[in-house]
Amino acid sequence: MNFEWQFLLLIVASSAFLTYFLYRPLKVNISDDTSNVAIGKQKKQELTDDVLKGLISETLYQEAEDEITHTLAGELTQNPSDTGAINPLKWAIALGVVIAIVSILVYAQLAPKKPPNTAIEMSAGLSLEQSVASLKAHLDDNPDNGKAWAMLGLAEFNLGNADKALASFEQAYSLIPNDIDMLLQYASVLASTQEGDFSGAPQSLIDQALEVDPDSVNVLYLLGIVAANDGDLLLAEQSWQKALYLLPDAHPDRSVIESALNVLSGFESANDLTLVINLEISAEILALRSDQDYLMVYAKAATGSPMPIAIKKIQLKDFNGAVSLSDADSLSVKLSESTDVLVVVRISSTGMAVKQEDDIEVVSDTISLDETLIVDLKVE
Amino acid sequence: MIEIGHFALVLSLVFAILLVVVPSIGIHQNKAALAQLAKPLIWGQFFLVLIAFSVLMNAFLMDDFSVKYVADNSNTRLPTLFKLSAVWGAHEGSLLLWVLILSLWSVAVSVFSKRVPSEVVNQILVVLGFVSAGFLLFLLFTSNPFELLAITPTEGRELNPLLQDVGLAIHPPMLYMGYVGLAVPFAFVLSALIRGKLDSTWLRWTRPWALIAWAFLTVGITLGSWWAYYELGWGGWWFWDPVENASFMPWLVATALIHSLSVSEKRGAFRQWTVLLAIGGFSLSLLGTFLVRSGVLTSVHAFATDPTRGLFILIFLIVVIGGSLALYSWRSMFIQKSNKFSLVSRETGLLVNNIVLVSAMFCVLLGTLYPLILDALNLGKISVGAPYFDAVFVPIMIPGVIAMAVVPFLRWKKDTFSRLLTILPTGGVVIHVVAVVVVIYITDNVFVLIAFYLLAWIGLYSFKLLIQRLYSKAKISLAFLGMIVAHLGIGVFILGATVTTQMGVEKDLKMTIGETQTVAGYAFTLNGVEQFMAENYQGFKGDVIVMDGETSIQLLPEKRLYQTGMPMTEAAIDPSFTRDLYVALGESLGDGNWSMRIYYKPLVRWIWLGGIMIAFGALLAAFDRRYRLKVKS
Repeated sequence: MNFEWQFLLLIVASSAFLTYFLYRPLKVNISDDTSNVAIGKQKKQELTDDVLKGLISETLYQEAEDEITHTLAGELTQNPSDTGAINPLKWAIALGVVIAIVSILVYAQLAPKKPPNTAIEMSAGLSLEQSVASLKAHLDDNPDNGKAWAMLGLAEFNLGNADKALASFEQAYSLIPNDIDMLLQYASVLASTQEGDFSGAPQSLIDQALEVDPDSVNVLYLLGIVAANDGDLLLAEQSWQKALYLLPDAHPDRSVIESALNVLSGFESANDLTLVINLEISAEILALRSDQDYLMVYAKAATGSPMPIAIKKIQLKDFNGAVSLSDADSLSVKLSESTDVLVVVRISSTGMAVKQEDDIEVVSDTISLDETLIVDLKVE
Repeated sequence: MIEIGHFALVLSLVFAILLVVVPSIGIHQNKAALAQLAKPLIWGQFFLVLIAFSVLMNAFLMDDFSVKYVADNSNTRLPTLFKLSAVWGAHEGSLLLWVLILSLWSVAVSVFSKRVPSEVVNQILVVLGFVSAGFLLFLLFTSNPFELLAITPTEGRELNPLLQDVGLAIHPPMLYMGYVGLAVPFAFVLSALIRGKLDSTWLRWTRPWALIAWAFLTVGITLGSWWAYYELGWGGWWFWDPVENASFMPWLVATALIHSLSVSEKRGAFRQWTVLLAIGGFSLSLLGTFLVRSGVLTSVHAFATDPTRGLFILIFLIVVIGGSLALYSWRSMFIQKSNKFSLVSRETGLLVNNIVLVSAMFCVLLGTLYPLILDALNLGKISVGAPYFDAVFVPIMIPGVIAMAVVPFLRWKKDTFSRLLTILPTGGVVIHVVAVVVVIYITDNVFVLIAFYLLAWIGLYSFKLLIQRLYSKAKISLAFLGMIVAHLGIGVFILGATVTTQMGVEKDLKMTIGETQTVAGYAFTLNGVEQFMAENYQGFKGDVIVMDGETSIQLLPEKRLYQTGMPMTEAAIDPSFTRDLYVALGESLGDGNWSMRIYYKPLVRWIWLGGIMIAFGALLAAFDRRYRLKVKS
């Protein structure tokens, strides 16, 4: 059953529910006067109890009782006894119509407009020009749909209409200024009109997106690209490392960010300190493990925090006898800024950061990075 | 499925609007069939909100990340319990819970008010419908939990790690039951003002609802204090955080209200004042909502920073408070004059109680709003914290606590000092004996001594009152027992709070593996720290052995690191009736050293025991037999 039918069912059930009570109204229980008289009597009884409890002196009892009577007298009114009748059918129809119209109107106002990406999917067989026409038609009816304006901006840009694209994005920006996707698309389109230069307005848009959500992976990724282009490799690396940290292990975007980090490590390698670990894994161990198992090699400070300084994680099938660690593999503290480290090699079926029961681990002696940059280790 | 939840919420708004309009027409035109539609409308509205709430909860359980709210606050690795509590873990869902609880209260009023005239109940439901409509509009137009994402992410983000705790599953619903429950006495008062009938009926039937709401608010605040104690890792139980204050202010006014109502319903005095307190209690609830959700405050509670939301609540606040006060000024002539009472009387005693409580509320209000006002006027940023509240709030409350033990002995209408003085001296001797015992065997700390004095004072006179009542021929009512239990609860709370603050020992230490430190006579040895991994976080777990005489106790404090990178301290506590031993693991300091927090907290559990006693006392009073009055139609 699609949603429209379910909505209709809810409207009909709601109207039917109220109609039942229009035809069989709940009984009126008591009048105000009956209630006040009963409470007045109860208060007099409580007053008698209060005398027994010593909560009021006997000399004041009569005065207090008179007050209760006086209060009650002031409260009694002539309640209208006859009530007017109604035409239940007329009211049932009126309520049904109000429920249907108001609920549908409010829902139409609030429900997500036809998502622009759906519009594109629906028009997969159409040309870009036809998609633009379709989006424009959609926007004629829904001029407040910021997402659709952003989509139109992208489509116009792909058609080479940069001015129209920017006009659409301006419209989108006025409607959904805190939408991260729109901010990033707008920044990218603006930058491309500045020959790929993100300085100025594009940078402001990225900063704005970062302010909206400092943990957005998309923002961090673009921020990294901009920083790398500006030569700020440290910021680029920090942004991408944070994005990588935020993404779940199985997320497909990880590979994109890991590739970006690898490219970055190529830039940095010229200045890097590289620690090469020549690793020999015995045939017995290899026979026991799957080639899908992970080989984790990391350096940690010889004393102090047990957190890794630099780490590389590969699968056994990709192991070629040596693993190198450099600043590109560092997390927060750079390897080149460290002095004495321990190299840890771990073979793990899960690849988890914390050692598991069936993991095999080998730890080197303390290595002074000022003196040694090549380490030989055996896993037997 | 999500669309059904969204549409059900829209329909519930339509029902709330109909609840305001249709029964009002019935009441105004004297058409019972329309007026009597109020109950079915509230039942329908509750059912629709329940559908919406269930759909959202199902989306969390099914990891439906197409819903923005779910994607922002949950992920596949979040344990099931926290997926359930994540429904109210952020702004949108907590507001949906708020609306659900409001409609639950409204249904309760419609079902459990059989002794209240239908006309009154219908008018009350109209007022509750108005409040409900306001919150539904706020929810749907500024904080929609059913907003969908254009692209569905494969994985969600993280529920705030602070909130990944059993305490979160209980604390907000209880607190909301109290906050929202204050809408019921408010609705009773507004209904009476609208009808121009401020009679005995509304006074009598408002009190049990006010008591139940107050009990929930007490439990909610107590749970919040307990949660802060073990979850925030500071070992504190109250921080005078503005958001804590936001819940404490309605509590103070509601406390004044239940006392004022007892005078109004029995003796016909303070009626105007009672009306103002009922309006004030709910208005402070709304003020708290505004402070938490507008973004004016930054705190562990403040989960919304959207000015649009703040503006909406501010407008709603102005409409509700302004409208209520305008109605009051228009209709106050219908309120009967207060019956006379003399200076020395139970009425005066309860008036003192009210003055103390409302003064204390204004002191808290000033301390909470003053920094915000200065900031708004660009006059600088200041922080008003514990020193201000300790210096101002505590002295205001002490006379109230002393009066608490004495006022129950006073007679209605008129009493004499000479009669009162015949009761007090016997107690004085016993209390001084208690104080001497405390000085010799426990401490000579003057604050602790005062706290012992107060508990002994309240305990002794409560006991004496009980004996006196047993000897009289009158039956002992639940209301009387409730009063005794709640007053004793206040004494227990005061002693717990004072002793833990004055005699507690707090040490921030650097400890090496294997090192032993002695705190308050207990030997704490750090045996080791190991890394561990749980379902959705990893971290370090300390192994601390505490020697309590010959007995050894193992404590395992944790330092957790969640997916967002947010570190969390999970304290390990050895609880007991007389003291808590509290250990929190800090940062690694290198070379096998760790920073550790070790606290000795004497009588800290008494704080929450006192809170539970207060709430229990209120519930006892709410179920007193006088509220089971049989009225024949």
